[in-house]
Amino acid sequence: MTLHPGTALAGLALLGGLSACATRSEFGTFATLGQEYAATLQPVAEAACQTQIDADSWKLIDTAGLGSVSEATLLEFDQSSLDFCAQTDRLVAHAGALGAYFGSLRRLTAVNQDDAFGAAAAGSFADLNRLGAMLRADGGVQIPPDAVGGIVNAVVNERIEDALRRELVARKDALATEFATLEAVLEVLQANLERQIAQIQAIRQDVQVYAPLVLDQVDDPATLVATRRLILRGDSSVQAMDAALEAARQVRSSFETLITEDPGTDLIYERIEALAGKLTELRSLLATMRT
Amino acid sequence: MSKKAELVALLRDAEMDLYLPPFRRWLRTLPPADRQSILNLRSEFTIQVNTFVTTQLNELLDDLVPVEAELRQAVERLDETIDALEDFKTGVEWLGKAVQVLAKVVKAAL
Repeated sequence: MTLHPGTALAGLALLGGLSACATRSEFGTFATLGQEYAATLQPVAEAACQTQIDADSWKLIDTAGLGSVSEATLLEFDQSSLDFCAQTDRLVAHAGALGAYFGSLRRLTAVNQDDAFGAAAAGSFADLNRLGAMLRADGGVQIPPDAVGGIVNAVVNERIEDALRRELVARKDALATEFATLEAVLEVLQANLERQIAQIQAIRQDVQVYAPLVLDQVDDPATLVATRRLILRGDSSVQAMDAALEAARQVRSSFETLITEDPGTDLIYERIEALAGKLTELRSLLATMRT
Repeated sequence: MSKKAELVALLRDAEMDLYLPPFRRWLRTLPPADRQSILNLRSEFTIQVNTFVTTQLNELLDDLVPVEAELRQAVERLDETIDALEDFKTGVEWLGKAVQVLAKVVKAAL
């Protein structure tokens, strides 16, 4: 077995050229944040579905208070609410695929990270060097004592980072479609949520403020409590939708930076920290909605 | 603003007006039969607006079907890559053991 010193130098030069790319830790952070982002889409979509169902119920209550609701109208509203939620369920299912993808990327960043493998690789080549030293007396193998282990460890490390970047670049168009579509979906959901909540507020104003004055009707206290909760939670779901939209923009921005040839460490950190900040904000809003 | 966005805004404003208190106060002044006819029309219009929003979401999510398939394939390929790297790790560990055995043999022979 022989290793030409020239090959080792060429290998090191190649590795030096690749060092401008994002590090494995940065890819790992991005993948982890991407996975967390995909997970947060589920409660956001579920809140949108719930607000739609509640808003449709309030429209029916409003109609019933002014006239009557036919069974056909009732069934149409039921179907309309279910159709809307079927779309938010599709969004959740898709977020599952996105989460699985980021999960695989994260797993890839973790491969070979453990000390046991590094020690095994270093140990193997140290043994090989010792073997070379024994054979040298016999005029056989010449292995530079320190270069081999270093090169192999670097190759193993760089190979993963290169694979990560190649993977993201290969998936560039698909991910760009993914992020752009998710942003558009969230914009539609956000506009719809705002409309539903505005309608609920208008109905509440009529049912609980004006109608009792005109018709001498006293509203059920339980309804008052339920409506207030719905409106206040609806407001936080609009804020969560805003935060989800901002997080989607940050995921796209981080992704675009990571696939850039030489983005610069400061820019990568800036993008990833912005994404982490938006996700913290979103998680905090989602926690408020659950209480 | 695109024509589609204009239409969306128009539908939203129109539907919103139907739920504002002045509209309901006006409705209460009508005879019951007329009021019911208008309420039926309002319900129909609301359903149509809801359907419009749902269709919009549906069209957007349709764009993600091929992307979702690609992501699932990518997950499979990445898992294969991870398995291959794990195999490489096992290979290196095996090489270490083999070299140790070989070293003992060489040492004994020398």
